[in-house]
Amino acid sequence: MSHNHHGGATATATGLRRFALVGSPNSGKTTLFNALTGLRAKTGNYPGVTVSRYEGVTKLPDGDKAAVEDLPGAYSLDPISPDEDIVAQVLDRDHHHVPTPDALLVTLDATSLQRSLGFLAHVLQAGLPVCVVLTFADEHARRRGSVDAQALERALGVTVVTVTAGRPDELAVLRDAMTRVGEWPAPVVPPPTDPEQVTAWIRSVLQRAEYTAAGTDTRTNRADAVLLHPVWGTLIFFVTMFVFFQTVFTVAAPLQGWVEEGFAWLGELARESIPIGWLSSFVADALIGGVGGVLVFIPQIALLFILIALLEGSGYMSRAAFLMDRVMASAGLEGRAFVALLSSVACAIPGIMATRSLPSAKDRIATMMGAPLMTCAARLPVYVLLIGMLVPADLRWGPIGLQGTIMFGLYLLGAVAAMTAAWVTKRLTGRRGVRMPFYMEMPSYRMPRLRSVVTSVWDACKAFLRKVSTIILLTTVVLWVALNLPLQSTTSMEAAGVDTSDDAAVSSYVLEHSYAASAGKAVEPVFEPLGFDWRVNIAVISTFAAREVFVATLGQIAAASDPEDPAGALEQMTVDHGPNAGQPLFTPGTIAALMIFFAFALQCMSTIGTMRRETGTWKWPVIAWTSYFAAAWVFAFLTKNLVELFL
Amino acid sequence: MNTIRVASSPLPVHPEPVAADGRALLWHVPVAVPLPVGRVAAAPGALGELFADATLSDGLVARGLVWLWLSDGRSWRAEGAQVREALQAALVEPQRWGVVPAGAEVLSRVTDYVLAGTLGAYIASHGGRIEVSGVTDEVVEFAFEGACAQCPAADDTLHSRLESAVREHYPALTGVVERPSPRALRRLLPWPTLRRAG
Repeated sequence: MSHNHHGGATATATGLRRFALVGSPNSGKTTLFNALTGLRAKTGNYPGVTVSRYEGVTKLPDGDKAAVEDLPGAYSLDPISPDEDIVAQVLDRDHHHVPTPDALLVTLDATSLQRSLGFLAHVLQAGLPVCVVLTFADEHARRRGSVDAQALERALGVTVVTVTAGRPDELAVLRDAMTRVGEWPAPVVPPPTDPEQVTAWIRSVLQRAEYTAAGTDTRTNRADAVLLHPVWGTLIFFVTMFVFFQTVFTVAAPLQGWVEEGFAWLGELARESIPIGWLSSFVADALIGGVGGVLVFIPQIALLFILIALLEGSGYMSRAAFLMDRVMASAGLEGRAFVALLSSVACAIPGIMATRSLPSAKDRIATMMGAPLMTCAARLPVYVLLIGMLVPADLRWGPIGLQGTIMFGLYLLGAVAAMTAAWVTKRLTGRRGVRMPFYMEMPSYRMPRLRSVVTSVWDACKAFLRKVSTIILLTTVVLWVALNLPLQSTTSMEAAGVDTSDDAAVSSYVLEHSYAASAGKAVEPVFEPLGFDWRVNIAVISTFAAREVFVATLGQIAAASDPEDPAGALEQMTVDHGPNAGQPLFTPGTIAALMIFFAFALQCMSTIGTMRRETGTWKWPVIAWTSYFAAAWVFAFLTKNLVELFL
Repeated sequence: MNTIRVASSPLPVHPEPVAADGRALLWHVPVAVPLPVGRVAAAPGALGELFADATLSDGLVARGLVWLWLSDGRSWRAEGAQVREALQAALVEPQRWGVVPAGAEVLSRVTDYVLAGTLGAYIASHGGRIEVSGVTDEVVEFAFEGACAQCPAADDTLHSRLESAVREHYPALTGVVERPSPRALRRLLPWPTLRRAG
């Protein structure tokens, strides 16, 4: 074998050796990345574009560390999507925007070697040291295929390492090869690039490697005969979605109960042990109450992400995308948009980021505009609170509870709204541009790897916790300050006729004259037709930072009037001025209007920030915010009047 | 190997390096193409021109294997694509190739190739070693060493596997033989011994 020393193959004096994982999607690249780097991967962005960058560090047997980068999956270096574009740029040494790695690990799926070798031929043109990692050799063997990895190595002229998921000894061989990156052989004659020549080259190489193609995957085919059936498949899909949502709510409920009790206990502890009045209120209400009220939803979010990861890892997600392609087409989108929208059910942010897999820029923008309308996990606390106030828990139609039905209806509303928004956006961005062919690879059904599921759930929960600890905490603190300032002196209160010995009266007076109240009263003209009063307005304003804060804010407001029983206080709140003074504030019409308002309004700074990052401009987030606010107002108004008409 | 193909699509070929010789490349071509065996004296089309203008300095042909040497001062990186296309075109007309006999040399290279390949890896994995101890135009003599020396399957390996592997590329092979072990000849009394020969 000839040993060519390419520039950059040895460790730089200042930094670690840099390897990049290249390969088509579904070739086991990300599983390999997780196995090499563990949970120590960092996510970021490539400069100037919005493609995710995953970089981690792995320990090599010689004691050194090496940086490993997981490049986006690509079928070819002739890019049709921003993901593939990035791969082409990273491999191009002349492209100074993005750093080129020192060496490449190219993952080739043994079951589809004929196609993958075409990709390898192009990658080898880049002139970087290459080591081929042959994946899914076990599945290849299971399907009665065979390949001689050593003969393949001789035929290709590059190192070939077979790696199977769950075989650490094979991973050790790979790490060993990575230590000796300076000695990696390169093909004496680079493979051809002309398509016919590449086909001939592949035939010759495969013949030399005694390659027999895997038989059809009978297991997958039998499963797909049912799961992709137009009638049975769709039915099973809906059942799966139903079970998906049911699991999230029923399984998470007891866990949530524990977390809630834990925080309530913590809040009590704070209130009792901290002697300074304002500090104890700050810690108990703002910090523990506010943040705790949001953290209560971690079990649900984690469960949502686990289920999505399982669907993705088993291979069913692409079948779902295929089944939903027709439905998505009615909004002018394609099946892959379904995956992005489904992820938005957990949180719009990963959903928006998932649109990167869509090759068409117009599709991406249309899906991104629809994603915030999907009923996300942040809306849940609001819906739970409002539905609880609207409908008693024991109201049932046979086996189906009314509360659950309303919740399901809200989810459906979110989905319909998202599709409509996407459709409108697609129409408005015009019909210019080539229609992209819709092709999607459906991988064989596999057992999802535990490590991959854990890694993706951990990443998602970390992002959620980060959001909580920054935006939500900040908002809660700011809100607490706004609700409790300006401080009222005893004399001014007595002059206003307030009984200073009654805690409840004092706190309601403070609330009524706080900065927050001024803000709430200032926007009253806007929200009055919807039946919101200044207290609800304060809560709504606070949600424009993050939806979850709504419950905590209302809680703080209710606790101000009745610290002992905030829940009861909420229900008994009455309108304090205007034509309806004295009547209950939370009428069915108002509650329904609130729910509809939340279904539409874009109330999440993190989402706006993500949209800005992904589209590269403020134009789309601004359009989304203003149009959804208008839609929310109009529909809430209609709902209030309709409900009051019938009830 | 299926040689029935659409007129314009190129034949499947790929190169592999030759040990300790940077100017040589072993080109794998479809085994079914009936190439004559020997040293290249004339080649059709572009390949012939490459020999004529001294880009290529030498060539050896067997079935499915073509060794090509570049002249001094040339590099495979630069000439490889051109050589590939010339070779593919020339393979379409195997009857227009002209060779001079170089039986032993070709047979020796074919045998080295077989032993360096999958079969050799298989033998090494069993702890054995097979070396070429003699080559003529039609016969190869192998020395079985290591675990192969006492292996009961040695005969079978020799004849069914080695012979057929070599004959696939060198049809004129008449036979393969095993070099008689010198120790066996010297043994006066047939004591059972645990010592391995070789």
